[in-house]
Amino acid sequence: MRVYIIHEGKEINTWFVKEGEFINSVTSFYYETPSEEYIEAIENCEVLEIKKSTYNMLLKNNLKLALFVIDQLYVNLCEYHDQCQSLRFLTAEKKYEFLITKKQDVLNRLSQKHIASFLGIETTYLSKIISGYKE
Amino acid sequence: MNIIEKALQGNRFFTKKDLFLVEKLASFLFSKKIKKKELLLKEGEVNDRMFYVQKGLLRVYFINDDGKEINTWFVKEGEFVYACHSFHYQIPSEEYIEAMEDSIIMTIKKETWLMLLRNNHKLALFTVNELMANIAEFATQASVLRLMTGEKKYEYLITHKSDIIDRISQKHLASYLGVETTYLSKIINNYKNNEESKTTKKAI
Repeated sequence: MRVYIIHEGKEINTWFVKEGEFINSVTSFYYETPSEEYIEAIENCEVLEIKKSTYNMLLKNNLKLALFVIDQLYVNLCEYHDQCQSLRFLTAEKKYEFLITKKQDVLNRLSQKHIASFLGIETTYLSKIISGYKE
Repeated sequence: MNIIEKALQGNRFFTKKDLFLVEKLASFLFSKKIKKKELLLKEGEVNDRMFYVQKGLLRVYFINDDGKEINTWFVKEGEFVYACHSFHYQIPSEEYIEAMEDSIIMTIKKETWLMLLRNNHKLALFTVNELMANIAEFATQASVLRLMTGEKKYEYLITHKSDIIDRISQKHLASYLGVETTYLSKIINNYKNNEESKTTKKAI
């Protein structure tokens, strides 16, 4: 699945989520404000969902669940941290290299269009980088 | 903000009734005064403790391939800080944590903190909430970095980070925003000129 926003009429991907991972629109879920994001299936998916109120109730009554959630949240935090780090790289080549190292497992399942907007660069430019990289 | 006030803030996880418990939990933390420019963590070290900023301002940065310091996080009083990967996976840190002002820091070892978490449900709920806030912060940071022009990024900082922006040098702000320092200073000057012309127009 992918999470994206629409900015100046263009879809910008902010997160790719594969099997075994949790997903929400972070700010909307946490602050309960209207979402600026869309969540869309890129492949046919089977998804489990739980209401925030139910989840909070379970959390309040189950310490082990809370500990599990803390662990998952750290994983997410690290993920976002990587993302921010790569976005601060000044060249697109570096950004792509970073993605290859960190996101090898989903990279092959994504179209170049989706990868480009994730990196904040143009698709044509990305395809140049990729062919350069393969050589 | 001291750690006890922080825990009781908003009456959400700990309430006034829990004061004794919170004080007991807080007794596991050590207080440390550090001077401006002093490091709490260096690249290569394993971040085995969590830090809480009681007073002051810290930055988290890494050094890129060109030898340039890139800021990834500014942390002010009332907030927790650690090098995410190193702390969670207990691997050598790629990051530095440095004081930008003279600061008072509370520290707790990861193992002590985990022990407390396992034995205290309220602390676990408090932690879940803090982590969600951190994630929301990074998520916003990521969209700001991805979308916008240098001008828009700076505007974002003015609107959302006005509480710390005056305490941070332009050099540090620039690497946080992923723009060159010279470019940022142009943006800031333009911004100020615009603001001034707006006020003059109003005066007329």
